[in-house]
Amino acid sequence: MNEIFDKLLIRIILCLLTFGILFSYRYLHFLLFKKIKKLTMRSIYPEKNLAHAIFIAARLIGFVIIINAQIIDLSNGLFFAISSLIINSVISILLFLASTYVFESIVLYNFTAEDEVIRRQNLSFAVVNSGLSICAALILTTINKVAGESLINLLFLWLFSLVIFGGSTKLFNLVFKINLSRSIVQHHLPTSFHYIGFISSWVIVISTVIDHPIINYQRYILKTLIDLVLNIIIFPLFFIGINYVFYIKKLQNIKDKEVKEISNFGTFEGILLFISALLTVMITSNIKFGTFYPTL
Amino acid sequence: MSKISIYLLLILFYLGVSKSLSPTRNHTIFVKDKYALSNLFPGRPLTIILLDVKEVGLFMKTYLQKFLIIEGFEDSTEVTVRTPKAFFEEEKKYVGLSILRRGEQSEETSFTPMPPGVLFMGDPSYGYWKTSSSGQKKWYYYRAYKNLPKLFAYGDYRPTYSMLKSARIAIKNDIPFFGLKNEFGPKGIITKKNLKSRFFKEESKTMQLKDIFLKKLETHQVKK
Repeated sequence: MNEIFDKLLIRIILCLLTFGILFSYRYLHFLLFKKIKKLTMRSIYPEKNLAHAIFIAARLIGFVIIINAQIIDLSNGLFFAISSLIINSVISILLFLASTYVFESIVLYNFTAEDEVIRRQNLSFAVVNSGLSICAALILTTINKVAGESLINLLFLWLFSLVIFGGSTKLFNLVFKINLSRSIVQHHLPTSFHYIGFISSWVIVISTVIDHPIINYQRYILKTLIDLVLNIIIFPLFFIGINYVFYIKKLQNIKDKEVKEISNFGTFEGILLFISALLTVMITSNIKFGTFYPTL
Repeated sequence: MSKISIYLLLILFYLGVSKSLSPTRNHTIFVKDKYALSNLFPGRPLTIILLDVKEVGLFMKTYLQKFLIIEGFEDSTEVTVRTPKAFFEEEKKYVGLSILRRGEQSEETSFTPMPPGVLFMGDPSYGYWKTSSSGQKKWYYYRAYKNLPKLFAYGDYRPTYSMLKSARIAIKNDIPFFGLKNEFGPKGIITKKNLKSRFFKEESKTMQLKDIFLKKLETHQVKK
């Protein structure tokens, strides 16, 4: 009985600690997002400003994804476990905020969060911004797993994934010939969903390709890039294949079409991208060749 | 540039980079035929035993052969090489046999498949003949070469004089020889029993479709 009660008390202590980290996370925003200080400190009224609620909720989801991946090991005592949790959480949160800052600077460079979220209540902006935050958190979770306890590996992986994902976020305009910035200005929500589908499919692919042990940095980079190219080769097969299998007729010339048609197209396209990415990683990472090709 | 061109370029890039980084390509030697194999190991006395053959891949096949190189006084070494299909098909009938021999004195290299150890049999530097109670002359290696019968995968088998005699006739006529009672080779009892190569192991554990269903029906319990 004593042991069970003791365990419960430890859980409550760690619960309070998590709240403490959550509280500090709210203020850590100031370090990188000085301009949106008011935004994060302001009370949330979802019924009045959904864009603001989504914006804050995404940051919270990102935080939860990162914290959720932490493993608390009490083998070396409570003090050690708490110290370890605090250190790992602070590092992860700082990297998460830095990632979000970088991605926003790349994708939403001509927007300010305060203007779009508070003044214009731009839901389209909030959705894209939220997507970027969640994607950053998901990539960071994989990075944390691969890096293990090594801070050097963590920094290396963070910078490496930042480059890959940062580059991929800019490919949207190139691949789909859709101007994201213009769509956000026009509060065009389906394009945002389309974009979310696009970047989430990249997150699925990147999380898979970086998830292998680091033996040597040079070999790691090469293997990751080769795997990435393999995913890019496989991805269109599914993306085009699904359209054929389910007789999906796409818009041929977006510019000449009605707004409603484009809206439906964007949302559905985003979902298709996401599905294709899931199927792609099944083919690229879930196939174990085992002894099919003997190790020489 | 059209999307298809970019896609094809990506495939070529992937194949090129993967091939240059492939450990198999970098570390496995390609041997064209038996003469190339002979040139690869110029030492003497030398006997090369074919331990294993494997056809790897589904559509684009790679043909692998594993050899045991025994060079007189040196340590024996196992070498796996890539070969063309023709050489693979020719050699796979001779797993467990010595496919190449070069004596200390002889000028030529013999490629006639023979039971392993024929090169050293009858050579007084390596062993001696002893007549058994049944009246048969049997070959015994000196203590210094006691590991040779293990390398040849003999088990309890001991070569006889009549076997050596038949082997020498076969070499002269360039006819593959599998032992007096066909004990050696892929179908030979001695090779099957004693040669611990992947080739034979895989044959014994080939999985069948019913095994998959049987596995599904198994109850998983934690062993105490």
